[in-house]
Amino acid sequence: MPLTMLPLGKSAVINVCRAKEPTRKFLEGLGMVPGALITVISENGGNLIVSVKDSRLALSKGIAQQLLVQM
Amino acid sequence: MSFKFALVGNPNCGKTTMFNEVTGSTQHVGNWPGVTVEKKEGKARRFKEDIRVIDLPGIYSLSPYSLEEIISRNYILEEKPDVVINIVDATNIERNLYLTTQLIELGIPVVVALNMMDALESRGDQIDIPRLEKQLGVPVIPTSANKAQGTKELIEKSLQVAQSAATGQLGESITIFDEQIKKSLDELLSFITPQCNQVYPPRFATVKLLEGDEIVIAKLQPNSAFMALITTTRGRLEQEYDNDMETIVADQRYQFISKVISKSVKKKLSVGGLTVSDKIDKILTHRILAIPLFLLVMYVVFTITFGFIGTFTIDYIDHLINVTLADAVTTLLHSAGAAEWLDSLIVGGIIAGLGSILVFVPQIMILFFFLAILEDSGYMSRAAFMMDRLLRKIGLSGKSFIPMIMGIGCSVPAIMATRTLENEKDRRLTIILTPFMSCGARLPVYALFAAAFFANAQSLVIFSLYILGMVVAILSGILLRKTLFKGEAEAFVMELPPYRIPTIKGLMIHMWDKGKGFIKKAGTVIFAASVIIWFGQTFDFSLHMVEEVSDSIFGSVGAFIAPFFAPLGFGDWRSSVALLTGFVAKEAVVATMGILNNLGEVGEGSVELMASLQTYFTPLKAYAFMTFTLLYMPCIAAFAAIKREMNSWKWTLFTVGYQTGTAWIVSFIVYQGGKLLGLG
Ligand SMILES: Nc1nc2c(ncn2[C@@H]2O[C@H](COP(=O)(O)OP(=O)(O)O)[C@@H](O)[C@H]2O)c(=O)[nH]1
Repeated sequence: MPLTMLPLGKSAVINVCRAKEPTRKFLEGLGMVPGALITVISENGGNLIVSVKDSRLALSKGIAQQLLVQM
Repeated sequence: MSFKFALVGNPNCGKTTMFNEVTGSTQHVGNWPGVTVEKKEGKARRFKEDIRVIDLPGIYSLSPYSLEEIISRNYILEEKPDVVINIVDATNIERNLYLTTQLIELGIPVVVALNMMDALESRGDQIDIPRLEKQLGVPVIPTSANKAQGTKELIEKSLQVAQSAATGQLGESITIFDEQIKKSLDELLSFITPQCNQVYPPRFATVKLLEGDEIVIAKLQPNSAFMALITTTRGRLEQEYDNDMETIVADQRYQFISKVISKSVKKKLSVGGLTVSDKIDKILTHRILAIPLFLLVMYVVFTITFGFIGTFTIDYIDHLINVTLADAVTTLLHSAGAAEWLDSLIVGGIIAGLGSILVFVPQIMILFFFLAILEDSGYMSRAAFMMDRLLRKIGLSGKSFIPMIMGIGCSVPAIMATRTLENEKDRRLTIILTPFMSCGARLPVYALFAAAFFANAQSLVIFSLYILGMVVAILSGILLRKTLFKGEAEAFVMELPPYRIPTIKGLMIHMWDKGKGFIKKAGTVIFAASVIIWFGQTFDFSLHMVEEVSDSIFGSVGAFIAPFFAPLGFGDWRSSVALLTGFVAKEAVVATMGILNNLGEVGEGSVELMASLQTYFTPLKAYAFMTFTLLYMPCIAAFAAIKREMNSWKWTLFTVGYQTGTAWIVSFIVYQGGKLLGLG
C-alpha cells in the first residue's frame, strides 16, 4: 500500500520506490531503500514527517504516494 | 610541508561548526540542510604545519545527480586532498555512514570525525570506537564540534595519516558487497585499463560502471566488448536480485552499515521510539495547531522587530547620531575654526546621510537575530514543510519559503538562500519573486511617506505595502508558472534536523554574517551615493555650479525621465531622480529627496522634508510612489546576487525587467484606480 495510507504513529517496511530516477537516488541517500523501516511521525494536509534510520524527513504527498510499504 | 584536508559530510552533521572551529574563521552556522553550497577554505589554526582546509558542500551521497554531489566528487578525485575528513553525525550514524561507504572507495585516505558525541551521550547511547574503526578500516575520532572537543585530535590524526599516506587507503581492504556482487566486481576490475588509474580509482570505477553512472562512462569510454560485459553482468544481477542495479548497490551498502552498527553501536531507545524532537513535532506540525502556532511565531517576531523594540532602537540611534554626535562634532569644528562649508559637509552631509541608514541597522539586526533563532532551532525547516502545501498552489515548493521570509530582511542573503532548491525552474522562479518581499531598506521610504501623508494610519499603510508585495509575488508565481515555467514545482523531500536550543555564539555569528552587509553598505555605497547626489545637484552638465537644483545635472536627467512616471502620479523630476538613486540602495531614496528639496541630507523623520513633500504629493501619489519603490528593480547588491545565482544575463535582465514592469503596472493601477474612485 502507498505510504499515504499508513496511519499516524505506525511503522512499516519500504517495499518499492516508484519515484523518478533523481528523486529516488536522493531518497536512497536519505536512507529510504527497500527494506528500511519507516514510521509516520506527523501529518499535515497529506504531507508527512517520517522517521527513517534515525533521521526525520519531510515528504510531500506526491512522494508519499510513490512509496509502497508493507506493515 | 603543506597539506590539503577536505571536509565532507551530510547536511547538518556540524560541518560548518567544525570548519569554523578548526579554521577560526566565522561563517554561517545554521540548521537548514545544504547551507554550505559554496566552496570555503581556511587554514587550520594552532598548528605549525601549513594545513589548508576545504569545506565541501553538504551531501548525502556521491551519486551524480545533484550539483553538490558532483562538485564534491570531482574535487576529491581531481584535486586529491591529502585526507578526506568525513564528518559523521553520531546521533544519525546509520544514514551518515552511507556516504562514508562511498568515500572509502575513492582511494583518498579518509578520517572519520564522529561528531555530536555530546548529544549521543546525553541520549544514553554508546559507540564502541575501536570496533567501529576496525570495521570501517579508517581512523575514527570522536568530536563535539560545538564544544571544540576532539577537534585537535582530529587534525593531529589527519596529519599523521597524511604524513604516512604511503600506506595507502586503509578502507580498500573492507568489503562492502556480498560475495556474488564482489565476484562480479572483481571480474570487471580485471578489464579496467591501467589508464583508468589516472582518472578514477579502479574500485570506484567498477562500481560506477556497473551502476551505469553516465559521467564515469563518458570519461572512461570502455570499448564495446567491455561495455557489453558490463551490460550483461548488470542484466544478470538485476534479474537475480529482482531490482535495478543502483538500488541493489544502495541496499548492499545499507546492509553493510547495519552489520557495522549492530556490533559497535548500543542504543538506549528502541528503534521507532519517539524522541523529544518528535514530541515537539507532534505539536508544532499538528494538522490543526500548526498554522495558528506558525502565525503566532511570525506575529511575535514582527511585532518585536517592527514594534516597540525596533522603534525604540531607531529613536535611540537617531538621537545618538543626529543630536549627540552632531553636536559634539559641531563644537569640535567650531573650536578648531573650521570653515562653514566644511561644517555643513561633515555634519549636514555625511553624519546626517549615514545616520539616515544607520538608524535602521539595529532593527535589521533584530530581524536577522530572530531568523537565526528560527533557523538554528530547526523550526524554519518545519515552517517550510507546513508552507509547502500553500506554496504549491502558486507553483512553488516549501523550500521557497525560507528565501521568501528572509527577503523581508534583505534580498541579498535571501537570493543566496535559493541555492537549496535543486530544481532549476523552481530556483529561478523563487529568485524572481523574492525581491517582491519588502526588504528592510525600503522601510525608511515608507516611514517618510507614511508619516507625511498618512499620519493617522502609519503602521497600517506600511503593513499594507508588505501585504501588497506578497500578493504581487503570489500572482506573479501563478502567472509565471502558467507561462515561462510550465510544470509543477519539484516534489518536496527535506531532512528535518532535530530541534536544538541555539547557542548564543551560533546566533551571533549567523546574525552578523547576514546583517554585516547593511553596515558595509552604509559605509561604502551610500557614502559614495551621497557624494554623487550632492555633485549631481550642485553642478550642471558644463560643470558650473547652479543656483537652482532644477538646472543641475540631476534636474535635467530627472526632467528627461519624468514623463515615464507621469501616469503613475509622480512625474516630477525629483521623484524620478530619487528612484534612480534607489537603484544604488533603496534607502538612498530618502536621502535624495532631502537633498533635492534643498534640505541637505535628512533622515526620514525630518519635518521640513515632509512639509516640502506635501507641496507636490497627495496621499494617493505618495501611495503610488511607495508601491513603485516596493516593486521596482532591487538595489545594485541584489542585482549582483541575482546575476550570480541566475548565472545568466538573459535571466538577470528578465528578472529586473519583469520587476520594473510589474512596478509600473501596479503603481499605474493604484494611481489611476484611486483617481477613478475619487481619491486623487
Ligand atoms: N550537540 C551538538 N550540536 C552540534 C555539534 N556540532 C554542531 N552542532 C549544531 O548542529 C547544528 C548544525 O551545524 P552546522 O555546522 O550548521 O551543520 P552543517 O549543515 O553540517 O554545516 C548547529 O545548530 C550546531 O550548533 C556537536 O558536536 N554537538
